[in-house]
Amino acid sequence: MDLKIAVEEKDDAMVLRLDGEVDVYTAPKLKSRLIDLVDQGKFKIVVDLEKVAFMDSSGLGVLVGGLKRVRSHDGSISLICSQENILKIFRITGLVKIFPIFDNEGQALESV
Amino acid sequence: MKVSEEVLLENKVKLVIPASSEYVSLARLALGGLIRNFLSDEEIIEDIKIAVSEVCNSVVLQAENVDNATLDLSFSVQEEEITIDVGCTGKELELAALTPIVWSEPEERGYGLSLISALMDKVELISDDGNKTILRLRKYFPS
Repeated sequence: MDLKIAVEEKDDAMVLRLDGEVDVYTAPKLKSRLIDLVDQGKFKIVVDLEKVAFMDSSGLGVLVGGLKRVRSHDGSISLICSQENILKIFRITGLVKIFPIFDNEGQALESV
Repeated sequence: MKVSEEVLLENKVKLVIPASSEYVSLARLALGGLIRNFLSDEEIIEDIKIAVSEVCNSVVLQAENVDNATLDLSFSVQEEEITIDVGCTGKELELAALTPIVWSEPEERGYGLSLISALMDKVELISDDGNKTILRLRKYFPS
């Protein structure tokens, strides 16, 4: 399954809506989009994971890389996720302490 | 749990695919399809798919510049457990590639082994008859 990424500007933040699987094959596509946003001076980012069917550490690594990039510009990345199978990998790896994770877009946008 | 009406002593499926990132999803698809014949717990199925994906990722990255390397998977489902062997033809596997990084701040890699260890019941490095290194994952089904 491929990964579709839709980007929308909302309330001074960029919202990336992911649809599909984030794995070793598709993660570079997400990495590229995050780097593009930072290069465009967009440092407030919300990543919507609600339609992600599968994610492994490849996706985690790309999100951490993106977070480091935006943090160096005083930016932030918040996540939208209510799916237990995706939340689980953030809990196991301790990344729930690193990423603010919300179950709706409104709260995520307020946090960035 | 859903078990086939026949008592299954062993149900083994082998899959050999190019050790390349675009084929890892095929391994997950085959694995998911196989397990669903025996187990209906989607959470456990997803756990196993993540763990196997992590091992495949490591093999793919280790075999990145090796011509014709293959990812050799074997899924063996028994009544109460599944055993998954992952090997590579063309490149000797190194477990060090899976070792988690001890980090003081979040890093971009090093999460694979944490996920495999947390999601599977047993993880071991073995050698097959030809002394090829194989990573064996085991998950026990709930009774």
